[in-house]
Amino acid sequence: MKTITTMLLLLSIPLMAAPAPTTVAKFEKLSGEVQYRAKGGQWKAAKLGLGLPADTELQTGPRGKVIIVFTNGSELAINSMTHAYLDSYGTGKYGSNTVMSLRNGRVIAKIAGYKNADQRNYFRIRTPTMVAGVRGTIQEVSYSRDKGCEVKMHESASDIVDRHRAKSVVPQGGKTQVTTAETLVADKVARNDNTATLASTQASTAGERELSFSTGDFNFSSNSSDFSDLLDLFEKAAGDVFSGQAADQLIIEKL
Amino acid sequence: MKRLTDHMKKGCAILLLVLTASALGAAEPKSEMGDYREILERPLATVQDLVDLVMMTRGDYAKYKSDDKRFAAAQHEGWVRNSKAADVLDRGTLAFAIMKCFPVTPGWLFRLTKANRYALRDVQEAGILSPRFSTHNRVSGAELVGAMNAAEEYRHEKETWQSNH
Repeated sequence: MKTITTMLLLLSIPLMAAPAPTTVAKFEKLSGEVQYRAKGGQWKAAKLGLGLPADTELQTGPRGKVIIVFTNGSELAINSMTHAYLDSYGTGKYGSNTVMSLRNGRVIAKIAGYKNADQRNYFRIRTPTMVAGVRGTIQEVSYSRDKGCEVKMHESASDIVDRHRAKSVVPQGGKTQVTTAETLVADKVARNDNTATLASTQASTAGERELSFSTGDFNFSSNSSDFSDLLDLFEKAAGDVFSGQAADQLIIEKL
Repeated sequence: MKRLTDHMKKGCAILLLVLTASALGAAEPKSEMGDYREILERPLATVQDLVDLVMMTRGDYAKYKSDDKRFAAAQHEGWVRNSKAADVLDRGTLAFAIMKCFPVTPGWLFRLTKANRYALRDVQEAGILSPRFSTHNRVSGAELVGAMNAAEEYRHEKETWQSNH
């Protein structure tokens, strides 16, 4: 009996001694399967209003989505199939400093405005290919091993440092792609987006489509609605031959 | 008094067992999220992983009780053709499944041939898969999850295009 009591006491000591971790964020909106775990702990299902300490790992399932709200009012929307870490969160006279890591998936960070001119809410998101420091208010960051990292700024601007220590800025409304091989800065991505020439209704403007049709490009385009356009063309041609107009012409010739 | 001591002994033993289990870390129960994590961490994904992930994305995973039933359903729907469940997944097979399960605009070569080669070209054109690879390149679990994520976003963007523009 004495042995059991001693063992019980010994096992209980670390449990009692562990201080309650400080809550830095909480789950605000939840849908689908969302799980979290403290470092080295077990995965647990997320619950609405549940507090999260720093150094927590978050994972959303194939149909899971969640919004977490930090104590400074910043919000983070985590998309489905995302794996992220809430690395650290600190506050001081300078404002607040949040560091997150994104291993897979997409997050949208909405940074709270600061109360006075001396304070800033620093928010950094690290991915395997870059670190993005949000200077403004709304930023979307995604990472997949296949396509690398993509940063979109919905409001204000962001600084980006890639793995080669090259620094670039994502302006408002801009998008930057960072892979292990290269960084496509915002103006280059915009230029690529605006010079699509395939005969597709999704990728081209009406004028570009017209031009590519007249030059015969549509025969070689890899992905377009050109096959249905081609069928329409044949149908129209066939329609002209066998329609009333053609018949009228035949009658006139007969007369 | 003796009976009380016996009860205390039993209680202490149970408590000790519970505390030891929590201290050591009990095994994670098998669940959809557990299976999803297994796929994510796999260095080489299999065709069965593709089937499971598509079913999870559609919300049909729990509908079929076993891997075999899910695979048979995928074959019946026609988005898995000549592969076996244990085969290592390649980009051609993945692209074909994406073309069949998501509303990606097909080019005329894919419409005519239904070949993995043209499925991959269309999926790459849609920005779902990276254009750097070809049909026989293998896929890791994380890459498979990334591709499914991109395909889901493509579907979402396409569905909300009219209301956003």
